[in-house]
Amino acid sequence: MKTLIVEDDFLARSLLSTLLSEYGVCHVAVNGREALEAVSRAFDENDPYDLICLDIMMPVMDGQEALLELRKMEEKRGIRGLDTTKVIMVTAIDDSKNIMKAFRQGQCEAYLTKPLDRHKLIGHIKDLGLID
Amino acid sequence: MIESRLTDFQIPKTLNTMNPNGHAVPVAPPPVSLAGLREHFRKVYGLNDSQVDLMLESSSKSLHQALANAHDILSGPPADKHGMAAVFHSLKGLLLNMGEEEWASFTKEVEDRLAGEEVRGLAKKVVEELEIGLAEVIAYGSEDKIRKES
Repeated sequence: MKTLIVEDDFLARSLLSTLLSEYGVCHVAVNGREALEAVSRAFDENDPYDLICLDIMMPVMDGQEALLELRKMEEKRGIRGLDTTKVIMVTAIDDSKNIMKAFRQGQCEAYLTKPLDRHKLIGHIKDLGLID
Repeated sequence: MIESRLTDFQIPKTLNTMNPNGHAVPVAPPPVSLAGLREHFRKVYGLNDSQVDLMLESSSKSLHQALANAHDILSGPPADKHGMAAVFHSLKGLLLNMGEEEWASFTKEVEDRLAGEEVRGLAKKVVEELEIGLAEVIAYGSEDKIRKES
């Protein structure tokens, strides 16, 4: 599994990297713009990400905007349906408005609330068929 | 679509006292210890010793950055409430990942009161209390390394 972790907070990046590196390669980006550059590069190299863990509140470009741009990028490349990158949004517990917006507009597959829950994270990834 | 219940986790309410102006002021929780934080990462995330060390270092770095951002925003234009909300929202998320729900709630007081005029003074107080209450974690990586080497 190839994962991109998009988080502006150092601890959250370290936690997610440590938990997910058991299952494959993990790359990191600190904002939405960096994430899109990494995703584009991965597509160009024919080695796309299987999973993106995407924080919502970030400087430069937030997770909502990054998610919309990611889906546009996939659309332009003819990537649709089950072939699209699986995205899990990450946010604070009391951010339900942003979570619903992400589901309705940006088509993410799941969300996680902070504090990060290891079992929920792994459960989501199994449900998405990315690991056994 | 995979859904998780939004109400799985509730940030606890912060205790408040009244200041001489009659405003409710949040009471800072007990200080955070490195030992407690180590135990949190070990137990909650099942991490080994070297992974826990990495998380302590990451917590310290994150706190340094987050508190520096808070100082920057508090010395900037008073009207930048969006900026202030973003900074304290990030602090809250960081503290939640550290297992510090009471400190997260304490920080959330600033977010919740952003409409009010007294929020700037409150925000400064919250930042000061965070620097005192999380001093051990903030100092991790400097003192701890010196202690190990000597």
